[in-house]
Amino acid sequence: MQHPPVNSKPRSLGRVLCAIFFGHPQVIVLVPLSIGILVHAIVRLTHEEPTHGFTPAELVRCAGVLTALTMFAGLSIFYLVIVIMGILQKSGNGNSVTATRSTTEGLRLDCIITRKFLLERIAELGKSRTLIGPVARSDSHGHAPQHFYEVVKRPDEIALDFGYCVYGPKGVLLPARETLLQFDRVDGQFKARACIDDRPTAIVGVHPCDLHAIETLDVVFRDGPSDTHYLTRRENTFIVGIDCARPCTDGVFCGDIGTNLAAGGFDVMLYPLFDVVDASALRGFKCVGPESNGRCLGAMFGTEAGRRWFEGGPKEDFYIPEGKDIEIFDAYLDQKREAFPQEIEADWKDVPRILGRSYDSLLWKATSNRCYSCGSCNLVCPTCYCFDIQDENDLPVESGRRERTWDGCMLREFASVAGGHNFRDASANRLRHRILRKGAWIQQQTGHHGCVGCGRCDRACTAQISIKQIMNQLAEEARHAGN
Amino acid sequence: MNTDFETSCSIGLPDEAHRSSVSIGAKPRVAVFSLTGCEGCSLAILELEDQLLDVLGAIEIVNFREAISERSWDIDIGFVDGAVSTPDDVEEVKRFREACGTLVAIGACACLGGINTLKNHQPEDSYRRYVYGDRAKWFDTQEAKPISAFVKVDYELPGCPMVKEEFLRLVKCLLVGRPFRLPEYAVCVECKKRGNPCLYEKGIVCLGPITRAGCDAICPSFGSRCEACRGILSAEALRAAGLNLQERYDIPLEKVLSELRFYGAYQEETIS
Repeated sequence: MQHPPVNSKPRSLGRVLCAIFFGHPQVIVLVPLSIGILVHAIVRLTHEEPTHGFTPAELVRCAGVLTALTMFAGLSIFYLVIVIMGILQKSGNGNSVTATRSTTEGLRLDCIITRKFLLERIAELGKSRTLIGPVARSDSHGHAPQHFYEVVKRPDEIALDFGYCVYGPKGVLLPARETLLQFDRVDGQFKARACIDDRPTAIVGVHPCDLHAIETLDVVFRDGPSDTHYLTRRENTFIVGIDCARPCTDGVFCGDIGTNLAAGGFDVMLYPLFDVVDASALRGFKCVGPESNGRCLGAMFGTEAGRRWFEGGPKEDFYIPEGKDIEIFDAYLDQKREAFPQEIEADWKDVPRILGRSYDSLLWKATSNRCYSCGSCNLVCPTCYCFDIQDENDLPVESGRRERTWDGCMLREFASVAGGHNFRDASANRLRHRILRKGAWIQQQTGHHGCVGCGRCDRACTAQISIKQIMNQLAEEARHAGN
Repeated sequence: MNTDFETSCSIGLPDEAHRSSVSIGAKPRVAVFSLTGCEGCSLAILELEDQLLDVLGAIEIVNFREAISERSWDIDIGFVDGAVSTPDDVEEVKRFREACGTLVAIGACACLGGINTLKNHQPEDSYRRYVYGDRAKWFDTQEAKPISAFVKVDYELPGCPMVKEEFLRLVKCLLVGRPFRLPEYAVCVECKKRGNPCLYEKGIVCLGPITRAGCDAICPSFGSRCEACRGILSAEALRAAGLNLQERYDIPLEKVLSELRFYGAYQEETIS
């Protein structure tokens, strides 16, 4: 299931005309009809022939009136349709009291809570699950702290107002290193035992981009040969998402892809309604003003487990939005939409087509000259799921383990096969392979985003090779080629 | 060891070199030798501590200056640390090669020449006087080189010092008859798997992107930059460093080269 992008991109005149014609077929009939009558009259006029007792001048007047009437009628119908559609849409929203429908498909506000309520709930969650959340980690060099997903003991260790985590939550579901099975030789018999991690875990504080990435991983490890190790861990992981009111840092392009909002992949999604750009516009709303009593976080339930988790909390800090409060969510989303600038100089829907035609571009060689093939871009990517499996013996060597670790298509040996052939020996081929997978192929294979626009690969690249820049350059090449 | 087990769990074809030299069933006879170096890599074997008894249960050490008095020359596997830096070293390393069925170079000096090769970039008179003072003429010396420049080496375990976990992995591979390979990727991979923040983001230029992994990114994990003690991974990575460090990080090429020379002076000449 794909979620439509939230960003409204500036539209060209051609696209507007197309939208009018294809959205309102009556225009197709009315406009040519009017033009036809007018042309007919002009032809008659130039031939100066009386027709059915009318002089050409009379016919022109008649045609002019007819044309005006037809166009007027056409436009009236056109606007009438728009008005009726608007009314229908409004009345549909008005029926719902507990949920506000936003302009974005599938998003609604189920409740508004206080920070106190949330912390109490997280503490409760921590009684039965290992808590993992964004934690600010400083270093001895005095640099600004960065955030990492780490196991926490107390709810207040979780920095819910974090910008971005250097690594996504992928490592919780698909650890960088994990033991798949242990083998041993007991009484002359070879025995192997699967190692499945089913410890209950909760990740609290996952941004929409990473929720989309988890959805991609879910499909990859579920469909086709299903991966018990991943799926067991996933089933036992409770996910609390948190929305971002604005881009977490410069250069991210989740807004272009539409992964800056998530309608699924979480048990509960939190919306920092307090984090609105223009608070004065929201005067009078119970949930942000002085009368809010600290109720400032909106929430949407993604699963029944999520709903149950909140229902167990203190009632005084839990509030079902009603009346004017319902509108706050739309206001929040409107302001959010404004906050994400366009970063990719093409419509994201066109990116697969642009990439598909980039195979012979000179860009790959020119850019990959700087590439170390260190694989950092793969390893920090929240949707990169490739892995390597190796057996490791113990000492004495009769027993051992089968271990899985992260791998990456930018690493030189990734496409090496038995016999020594390497399908992508040149780094230009590896770079092209990666970008095409991120921008097109994963989406085509799984129906989910191969790239969520989080910008981690761009930040991790010490050679400053940027997927965003590559896509923009290729979009420009496509424009020059007239595609 | 039971050979049935070996066939059931080993993956891939055993390497012919050690298949012939390590007889399955008996404890391999192991020696540890040193050439020009600090012998820290020999000591790293003794630093295995928790696993040392298991190691000694699987191999028999027959010649190891740092650990035992015995000096046997009936050897299955020989580990050598230190670089070849004197005419005596040349004779020694040839003798090791003859005596050992499998010869393993351990540490940056034995594998890359290591910091000994710094002298290759200085006038001979000056470093001889610096090291030996007024008795310089008593000691023969020559350009420092890794042992692979003189004899065939079966395996290399680079690093300063060598990574003892990697030593353990090689020993296990030799025991089971599985192929052993060094990681063909950069330190960044292990650094990222450990979830470290990147030192470049803190304005620290680290040689991790061009250095062979296998150390589990121990230096960056503790906030220190990688100094490429395990050697330059590939010509491709070296070229990228040339393009990036001066252009994007404003580090003069001479400085980049001098940093790489700390361990990789010999490699710098040989890498294509």
